[in-house]
Amino acid sequence: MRPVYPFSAIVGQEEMKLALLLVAIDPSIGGVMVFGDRGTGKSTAVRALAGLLPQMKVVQGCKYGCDPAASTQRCDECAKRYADGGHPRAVFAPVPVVDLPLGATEDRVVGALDLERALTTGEKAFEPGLLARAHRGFLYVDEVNLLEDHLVDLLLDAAATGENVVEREGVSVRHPSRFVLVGSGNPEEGELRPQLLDRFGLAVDVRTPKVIAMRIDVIKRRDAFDRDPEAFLAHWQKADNKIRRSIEKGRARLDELAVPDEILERAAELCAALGTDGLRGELTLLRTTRALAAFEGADTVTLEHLRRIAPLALRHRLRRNVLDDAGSTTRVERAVAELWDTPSADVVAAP
Amino acid sequence: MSSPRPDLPTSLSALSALLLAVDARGLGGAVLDHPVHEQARLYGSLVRAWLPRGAPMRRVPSSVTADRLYGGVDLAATLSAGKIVAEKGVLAGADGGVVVVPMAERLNVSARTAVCEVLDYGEVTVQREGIADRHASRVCALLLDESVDDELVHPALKDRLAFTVRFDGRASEELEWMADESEAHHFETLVRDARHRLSQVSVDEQWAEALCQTADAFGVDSVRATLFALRCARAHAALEGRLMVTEADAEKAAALVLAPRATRLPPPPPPEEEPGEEQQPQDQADQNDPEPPPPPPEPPAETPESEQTPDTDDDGAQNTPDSGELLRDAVQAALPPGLLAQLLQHNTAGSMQGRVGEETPNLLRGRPRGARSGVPRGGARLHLLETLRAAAPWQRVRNNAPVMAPALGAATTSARPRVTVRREDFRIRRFIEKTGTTVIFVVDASGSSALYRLAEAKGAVELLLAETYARRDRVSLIAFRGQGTELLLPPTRALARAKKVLAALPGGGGTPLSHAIDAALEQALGTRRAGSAPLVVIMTDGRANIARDGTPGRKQAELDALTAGARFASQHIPAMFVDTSPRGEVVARRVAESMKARYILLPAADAKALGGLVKTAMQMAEGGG
Repeated sequence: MRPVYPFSAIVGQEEMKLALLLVAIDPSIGGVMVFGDRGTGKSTAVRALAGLLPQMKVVQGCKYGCDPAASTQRCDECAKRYADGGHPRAVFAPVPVVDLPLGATEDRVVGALDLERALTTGEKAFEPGLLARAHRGFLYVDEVNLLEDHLVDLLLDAAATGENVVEREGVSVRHPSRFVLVGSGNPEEGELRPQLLDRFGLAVDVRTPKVIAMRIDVIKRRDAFDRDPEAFLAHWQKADNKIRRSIEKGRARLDELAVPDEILERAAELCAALGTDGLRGELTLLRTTRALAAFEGADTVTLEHLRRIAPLALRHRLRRNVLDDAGSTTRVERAVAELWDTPSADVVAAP
Repeated sequence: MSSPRPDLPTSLSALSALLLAVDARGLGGAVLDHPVHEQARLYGSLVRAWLPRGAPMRRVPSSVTADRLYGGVDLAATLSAGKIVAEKGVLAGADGGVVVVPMAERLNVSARTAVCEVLDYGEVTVQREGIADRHASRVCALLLDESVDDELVHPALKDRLAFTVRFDGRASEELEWMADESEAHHFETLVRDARHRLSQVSVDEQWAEALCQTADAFGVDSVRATLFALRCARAHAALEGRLMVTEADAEKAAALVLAPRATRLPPPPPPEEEPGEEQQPQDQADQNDPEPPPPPPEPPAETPESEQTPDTDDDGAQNTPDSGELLRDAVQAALPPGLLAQLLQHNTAGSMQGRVGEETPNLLRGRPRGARSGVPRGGARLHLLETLRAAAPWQRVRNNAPVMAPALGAATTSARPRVTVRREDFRIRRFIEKTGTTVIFVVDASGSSALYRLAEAKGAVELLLAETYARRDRVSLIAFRGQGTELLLPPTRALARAKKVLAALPGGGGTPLSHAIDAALEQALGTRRAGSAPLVVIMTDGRANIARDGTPGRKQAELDALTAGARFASQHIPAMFVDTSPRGEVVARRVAESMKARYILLPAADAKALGGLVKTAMQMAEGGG
């Protein structure tokens, strides 16, 4: 096992780190798309996240990692076991963070007939693919904008339905596959299909740190890690643990946090002002805002939370405006400012 | 400055080979810049010879198939064993050694990402054709950059390799010298000792900082580059037999790693220099060095935002107040002559990044897309795995005897499990011939057009671009004005780039319409040859006033445009002629007719009408595709 660079040791890139933590707290936010320059630690952050996530409970022996508590999302086998009145043991397992390499083939993504067993025992067994392995965890695609279209289709399908349906070479299998899709890529090298972009709950931009002191930090830490990974990990373990605990606390707090009506209205207002299509933007905005409040241990969800989250949740949902050349982040910020920055001005302007 | 060991090469290129052998994992490898075959071979064999004994060397041809690259099914073994036997791919096979990629600019996407993964993690992940595996692949990659024109080695690859090696006369001489049999032992020992020493070499923080500052001063943004520079300094120190990085090491590192990546020159220093010690004889013979005697420039206004403590007076190295400054000279001296001139001209980043080679098809032709049943003949290729999968469920029935207990099997002589494959099991590979459409935009940027709504035409193009990229089509952009045409963008799928190029398009000059039609035709035919269906969209006010021979004059220009149009029409290329003049030009309509293009008057810039335009174009793309 190669040592993984610790999450807490990543210098800067606050937006990307925050986005990843928020979807870890509430996976229903959807995935995270990371746009950005080369060598900015996109992959590092995703892999580091794997080392950070609290373990999850799974049904013992289930090859899809079913959740003992989720009665509606079970694979056929678990459903049967429970229906028969069984009480399978629950065990702890690490949250999967699965890489989908661009060179993957379809059979490995969705799963296929287990050839070896078929040939040796004549048994038609299903060999689960990456979509099964990523269930309840993260599926990471680096350079997702270069992923072959037919693989993108498979991802879209699974992401939309939350399950993977396989009908091939005599096997007919259906299993739950809910995962947080994390993609990264550089838009200069090929655009992302809009359908796929739309699937991502949050979008973040990462840039090479411009402040020299930060860059010095980056290379010093990286160098220290390369030279003595164990010592480095030990040094950062405390900080990583702290983040892990705030994820746990955030999750626990999530259910108790109600979003005030006022915030709901504000979110709707913002989406309307930006002309984002559909409800997805609004829903993501709310969930993310709540996750942020939960993560930070706030008692209530405030406008401030919403403000901070708006660019992450909306910047990739804007329609292209031919006449407006401003970047999408700027457009979101501008809308936010126009909507909410002038409460006093209203009062003053009134005669 | 401590003088270097006399037994080390003086040219940076030759030195880089030694450094790679000292820290192959840390430095990733090198881009060999247009090497002659022998040079590349020599360089590669030297690095390999100095790596720990038995280091493999593998070539990755740009046509490599995914299964050979990642690893795949071992056909013979699989058939005889009756179960899947995996075979290591090239990348895993090169573990601990050297991977050579000739024509690196032609490397296809999946090969490229695989190489990137290997360089990042020293591992290759296989998720293919029934095999899920992970192999160690700690390699030193040598990418042979043999690009011409605008096909470049992909920046993502270059970013992951410490060095760019140019073979000038001295480099070649020194490489030959190092390859001489009498020297073999000397260098082998030198590198081996350095490798052992490497982990003990310490770097004072000031050099890490200096390298960062130097990188910044020369506009080297990638953090990887700076990290490479640091490792390079360390490897160099180890090579020189030191346990601590000194100025000489940092200088070499800056020259080797940072100089080839420079995108700008540091801001000129305030004039306050004495002509002190002159620069050493330079590495490159910059015959056209327009640079004044290099004054050690000031660092770019160091904001006091960090409480870094570089002033802890070290006893070892001679501590100058600003170490970044020293490195700057080293970088400047090592800048390749052409680059320096270029940088002085632009003195900005940006236009530095060239175009990246188009993707080549991955396997045989088109994209592989599963398999279907059929007999492998007439060029169709058997999909072994799918064939076995199809056959698998029937084995028990077919063999008419359960494959069972080893006790039984041991008694028989033919203990080998056999697979019975019948004709109906055959599966052949399916490929999707990715024809798709390439929309070729030909935009009139002449003065008259600029007058009428060039901005609106750009807007319309952008809308069309948005639509084409949703359909995963490619776009290409040609502008015409003044005396001729300019290919702004060869066929690409990167909308962001197209947008940028379009936004930067200036207006002004005459309207060489015939040239534009010729260029469109040429591009369309090229597209067709490449297996994609072209759609030409010309946007102009039709006011041709530059004749084919370049002379101004409306009459001849129009005649030429009509002739060009007829030639265009003969090739049956679907085309759309968008008239951008305010009320429509008779000439425009006639030229459109001559091209057999659909004539459309650019509607006033309201989104709906433009939407209609887009729709028409897309329908045409469907029809043409």
